[in-house]
Parts: sequence; C-alpha cells; structure tokens
Amino acid sequence: MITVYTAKNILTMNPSWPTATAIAVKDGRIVEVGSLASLQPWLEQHPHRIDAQFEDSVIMPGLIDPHLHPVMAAVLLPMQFITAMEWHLPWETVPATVSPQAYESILRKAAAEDDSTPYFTWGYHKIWHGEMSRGLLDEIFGSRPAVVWQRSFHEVYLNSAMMALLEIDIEAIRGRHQIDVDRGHFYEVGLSYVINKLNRIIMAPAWILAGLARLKQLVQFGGHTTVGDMAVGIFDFEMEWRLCQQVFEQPDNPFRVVSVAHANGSGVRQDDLATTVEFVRNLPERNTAHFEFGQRIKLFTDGAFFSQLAMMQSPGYIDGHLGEWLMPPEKFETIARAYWHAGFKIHVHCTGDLGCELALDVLEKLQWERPRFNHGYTIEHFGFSTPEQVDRIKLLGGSVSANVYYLRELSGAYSQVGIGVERASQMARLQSCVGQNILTTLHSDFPMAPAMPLHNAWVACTRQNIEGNVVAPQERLSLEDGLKAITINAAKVLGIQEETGSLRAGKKADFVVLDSDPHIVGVDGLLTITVLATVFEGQVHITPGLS
Amino acid sequence: MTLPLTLISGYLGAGKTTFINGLLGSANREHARIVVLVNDFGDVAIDAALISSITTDMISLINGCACCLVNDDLERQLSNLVEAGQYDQVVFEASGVADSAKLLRQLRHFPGLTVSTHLTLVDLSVIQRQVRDKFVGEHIQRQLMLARDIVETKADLLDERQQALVRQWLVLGYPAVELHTMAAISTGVVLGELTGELTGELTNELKAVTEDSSTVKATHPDFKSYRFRGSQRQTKDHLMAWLDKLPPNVQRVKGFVWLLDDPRPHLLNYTPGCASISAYDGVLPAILEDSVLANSDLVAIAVHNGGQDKQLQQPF
Repeated sequence: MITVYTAKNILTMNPSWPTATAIAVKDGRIVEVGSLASLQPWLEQHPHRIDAQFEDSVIMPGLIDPHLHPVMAAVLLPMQFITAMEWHLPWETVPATVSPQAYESILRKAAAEDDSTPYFTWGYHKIWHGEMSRGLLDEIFGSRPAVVWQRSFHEVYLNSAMMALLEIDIEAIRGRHQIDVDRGHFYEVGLSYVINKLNRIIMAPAWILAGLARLKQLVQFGGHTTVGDMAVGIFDFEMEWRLCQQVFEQPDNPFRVVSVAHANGSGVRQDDLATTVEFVRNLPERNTAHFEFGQRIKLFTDGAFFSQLAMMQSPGYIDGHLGEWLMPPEKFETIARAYWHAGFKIHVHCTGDLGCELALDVLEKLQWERPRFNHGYTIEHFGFSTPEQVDRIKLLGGSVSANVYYLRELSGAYSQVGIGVERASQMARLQSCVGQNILTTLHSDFPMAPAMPLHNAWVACTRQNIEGNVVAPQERLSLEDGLKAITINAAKVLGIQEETGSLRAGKKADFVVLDSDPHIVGVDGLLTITVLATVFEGQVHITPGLS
Repeated sequence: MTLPLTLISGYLGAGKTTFINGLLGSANREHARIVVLVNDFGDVAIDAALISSITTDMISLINGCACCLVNDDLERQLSNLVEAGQYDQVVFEASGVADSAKLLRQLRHFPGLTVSTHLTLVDLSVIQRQVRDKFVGEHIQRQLMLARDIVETKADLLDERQQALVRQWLVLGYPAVELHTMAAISTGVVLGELTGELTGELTNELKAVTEDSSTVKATHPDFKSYRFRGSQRQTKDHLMAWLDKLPPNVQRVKGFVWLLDDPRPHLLNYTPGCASISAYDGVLPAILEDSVLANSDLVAIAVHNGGQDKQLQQPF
C-alpha cells in the first residue's frame, strides 16, 4: 500500500528537483516526490491512499543532528531546568529566570512539593540568580537533599541534607582546592570529589533510563529523524550501548541513532591499539533497526570550549593561561594513523585553532602516506580556526561539523574574558567553509547546546549572539546553506546520505512537518517555526503536546 | 597515618615508565606495598607490561570525558586506595600532557593522602627541541618552570660536552629547579625524604633581584617571580599557613627561612599541594648564613594572572 502525503510545499533538499506538493511512500521508503498529478503512473498501478493531514503544512527532510551525547544528556534531563534563557522542552517551556528573587521562588515552590527524594536543578548562574550557598538551600529545602548545578556543569552547591546523604565528612575536606564546604560549593577539581559520590544517584541505571526517555521526546520535539552519538564510551561503552538499546530499540522509536565509538572510551580501548581497531571494526555486527555503527571513530585533540581549555595559537588567551591537550599530540597521530590505514572515517574533536592545526597537520601526513578520497575526516566543533586552515581543510578533503551555538552564547563573553574581539567574533567560520565547497554541517553537542536544528540554523544564518550583536557578518550562511547544514550535509557527514537527508525516490521516508515555509518566513522566521510532526521511515509521530 | 604519593610527571618519551620500573625493582619489598597509577592513552597495556608486578599493583586510569567533569577516575581511584588501606605508597605516573600544577592542586588536602615527592623527568637529548615544539612547546616550558626536582634521562644519547651544555641551559633558564641524575637519585629518596637530600643554593639570577619585598623579575613572559625577604623569625606553623593561603596562580616557592624555635636555617619548598620546611645543612649564601641576622629569603613564581596575585604583595 502506497501512502501519499500532500503538503502546501515540500522542500526536498534535492537541488535537481527542489520543490513538490505530494510524496508517495511505500514500506517506509519514498517511491516518488512530485504532485498528485505527476504521481499518477505509480498510483494507477498500486493500491494507495491519500493522507491529507499535512496539506496545510510544509514538509522537509527529517532533521539531523550529527553530534550529541545521549547518555551525558540523560544525566542532565531528569533535573529541573531553571535557566537564564528560555528553553523549549517537550514537557514544558522553561521561562527565562533572570532575577535572584524569581530564582528563589522557583526553588521554594519545588521545596513545597510533597517529595523527599533528592532534588536537582540545573541552569543556575550567579550573574542572573544571585549568591547561592548551603545555608540558603538548608533554609529552603530543610531535610530534603538538594543540589544546584551550575549552567556550565563545572560547579555544584549541596545542602546539608545532601552532604549527609552522600556521607561527606565536612572537616576531612575543609581546605581542599576549589571546595568551600561552608557554602556547600564544589567546583572544577573540587567537583571531581563530589561527583564520585553524586554518581551513585545520577549514574544509576534508573536515573539514566529516565533521562534517555526524556531525550527521546526532546529529539523528536526538535524535528530530528536521525541523531549521531558522537562518542559512545564516554562513560562506559557496554553500559551506554545496553541502556540506549533498551530505550531506543523500540518499534515506535521516532529516529535512528548513528553511533561512533570514542577511541579512548572505557570499554572501547582494548589491550593494544590493533586490537582496539579490530573491536571497533566489528561494532556494526551489533547494529539494530534504530541503532547503528559504521566504520567511524571519534578522536580528540584539545580541551573543552566552555572551560577555555581550547588550545590556541599565538597570541593565545589574554590572561596567559594555556589550553589542554586531551592526549599527547604524538599519541593522537598514532591513533589517527591506525584508523586511517584501516580505512575508517575519522571525526576529530577540535575546539581551538591549535587543536585544528594538529588535526590538519596529521591529516596532511596521512594523505602523504596513503592518499584517500572521500575519507570523511571531519573537524568536529570547529570553535576557533583561521582562514588559512579553511583552505587546508579544502585541499586535504576534510569536512566540518560545527557547534555554531558557541558564538551565540560565548562570542560576547570570550571577547571580554578570553581571546579578544577579533578572534572571538570569528568562531564557527562557516561561510568560508561553504564558499570553498567544504562539506559543512551543524550540531548541538547536546547537552552543551539546545538540540533544536532550526534554531541552530538561525544562529548560523544570523550570527547574532545573546548580547544582540551580529558578529563577523561575513561568515553568515544563506538560508539555503543553513537548511542544507541540518539535513543533507549532516547525512553526508554521518555517511547515511543514500538513506536519508533529502527527499527523493528510493530514500527512507524521513520527514519533518513544519507549520510554515522557511523560504516564506525567511531567516528570521526560523526561530518561530513549529515542528508539527515527524515521519520516520513512513511512521507519523505527532509532536508531543501539540495534538 | 596518611598514604604518601609520589607524582612522576614528564612528557611522552621522557622515560617515566622505565624510571618507575627501576624504582619498583629496587624498592624494599618487605616494607613497601606500592600501587602505581597510570594515566595514559591508546596503548596503555604496553606501558603496563613494562611495570613489574612482583610487589605492586597497577591501576590504569580512564580518561574522563572532554567537556565535563562527570567522570573523574583519578578521584575515584584515590578514594578507593585511601579507604582500602592496603598500600604503603602510591606512585602516580601522570600523562605526558597533564598540567602537574593542576594535579597537585587536586591532590592537596586530599583526605588521607600526602604528596611526598614530585619529580619531573626530562629527556636531556631532546628537551631543547621540545620546548620549541609547535604543539607542546609552551606546555613543556611551563612544566620546567613549575618543576621542583628534575630527573634527567637519556643523557647517554649525548656526549659529555653536549650534556654539560644542556644542563647549563636548564639551570640558567629554570633557576628554581633542582637537577638530579638518574644515578644520583636513590629509591629511598624518591619514595621518601627527598628534601633532606637537597644541596641547592640560591642561584645568581635570584640574587640579582633588588631588595624590595615584592620585586618582580620576569624570567619568562608568562610568569612573574616575587622576592620575599625578612629578618623576623617565624614559626613553622605560621609559614605553612601562609603557604596554604597562597592564591592558586602561585606555582612555586623556594628559599631559606629561620624559625623561632630552631637554631638551624631551613629550606622551604612549595609546589601546590606539596609544601615542606626542613633543616638545611648545606652551604648558604653569605647574606643568609648569619643566625643573628636571621635573614629569610624566598622566591615565589606565579603564572601571570590579572589581580589574583594581590595577596602576594603582603609580607609573610
């Protein structure tokens, strides 16, 4: 049976056949894209039905986020969001909370609930929410254990009840670096101490499963039909794989997960490098309907962008601190070489321009040793870069998967405290990449940034930061390139472009259904478009909360 | 009883694993139950295989995730070791790119643990090239700048004249370090009272600074050095408390002090998380050797860092 979906407009993202008004689907695949009239040769010979439920809406290829972290997200998602910026979540829209009074009143409301289980909130930031302390939390929550997690993930505040629950010996840790026991404040290396105790709660299978169930809603809500898990093994490979299977491998799951193993992940790394490569090579044997591995691997050069541990070329950071290598550069090269010669597509986490330089120097050596075309070597995150590095990415055949949200949230801050206006403004140098025909896509790195591809495309097309400034407007993408970045280009970066990413005969029937046409509402309208539904392999999933 | 920890740092190829093997081979097996923590990447088992396992255990640390701190294996493993109480000594081989100052800050005041020794291994044959390396040069310069005791390795790859030149370059460029040869450093020293064995003296460069208590002399563009002088004797507790309150960008303090309750001069040595004040029997510079004048003289090295070093302006 063929099902024909009609729509006000269909953006196919197939440049040779760009728009349509009807799309015919059989057994989860597209048989033809066109109009009711042009589909007749198919419809005359096959039983079919016309489904007009989207006739006033706009259909696009299902959106793709090629880089997020499901299990890390699952740690966060069971917590209550109280944030300085509005968050759209499937189960609630979290309003912007921008005063200490408003913040405190939300905490008091939570404390008033008849619940004695540990309370967790995420999103606190001193600039907006005022001073936080153990004393304040004790006063608000009394005997209920409570944890306030700072927006960057690098700080927590605990109340006395939580400290008692975790059996923290206050006097034994008094004076430890980056721990203020009196205020219940644990940050940076001090967080390492308390996190190992908190992990009893937030890494417990029940907590992770609850978080993954929320992630499932959130991925659908964003209009995705494919996401990439860009580092399985970040905590523990087998645990992550098992829990993700449990949650995502359901007949009604509205998306697929393309998984890439973390080269140094716990449970990925074997006794020696050759054995590890063999282990990763055999991972596709585990593939199931919604969860698949390919011949891909995730490597890392430099440290976290949010912690200013990106490795920077001269002149570095204003305060003179250095970033961090996540592994010695020679080790990075050794591991990359092993996977390159084994024919893998290599995804390299790079945040700073020196991190990018290392990734490109190594790629250049590997191309000299064994030239490859279509090798899929991808610069992931692409925080800071130079125009000359973009030239080299082109010459060496690399791709770019950018976390464009960095510029939204951090370009203003890093101009002042970080690296100065010139370089901070040029984060995510995307138009330079697109202008050189480099395969370029966008990702959220969720939970680092919201998993909302249309919002991400808006950031890439406007380059407007939270302060309202447009930074390096020369690097804005056109609307069309912004849309390509969250559909067909994302599919190419994950190697699934024959299956999804655009709407054409033969591909999986993966759509997103929108309430308005990006070409009509334009770049500014990307922020207000509502995802009405997704269709995954021919199955309709109405966005939760809308029906 | 706290568990002593020996931190061995140094870049990839500096010979950390070989050094630890030697250490384990010659350790007193009846008394030392040693556990080695290794933080390495990619092919850890090769390193692990080299570490002899007769009286020791080895724990390979899993690297946490890149963008958050939700997974910190070092903290977890150390807590387990302290709680288990089955070892006499921890030897921690830091990864080649670990920021040892940051590690020491994490280890400072770790309940039940004392950083007894911190050694930085340097491959004498390549160090001058490494400090100029495009990717790790600055890290290695900082490692040297903040190191306290450097053990040179692979000197045999150079002839005697070359060795002398590199050593001279190290001592002149990094005046706060003590340079040790592999041969001269005994197992007992590494696992215990290293500070008692030092025969260091203030170098010429440090003497050259002016008399002010807060004089800055840049020895490296990213660092400031501060000079502290005084002629008032202090209690050891007072000095230790002062060290404990130093801002985090202070990475190194070294010099001589006179104590209220001890007739001998003392050598003070500090890296974050690892402070010692011990009687000194070596030769002192003339200006410091008079016990009546009781001149104390300290040099502190701090990472250049905005306002954070204000506290350093105050006399101790």
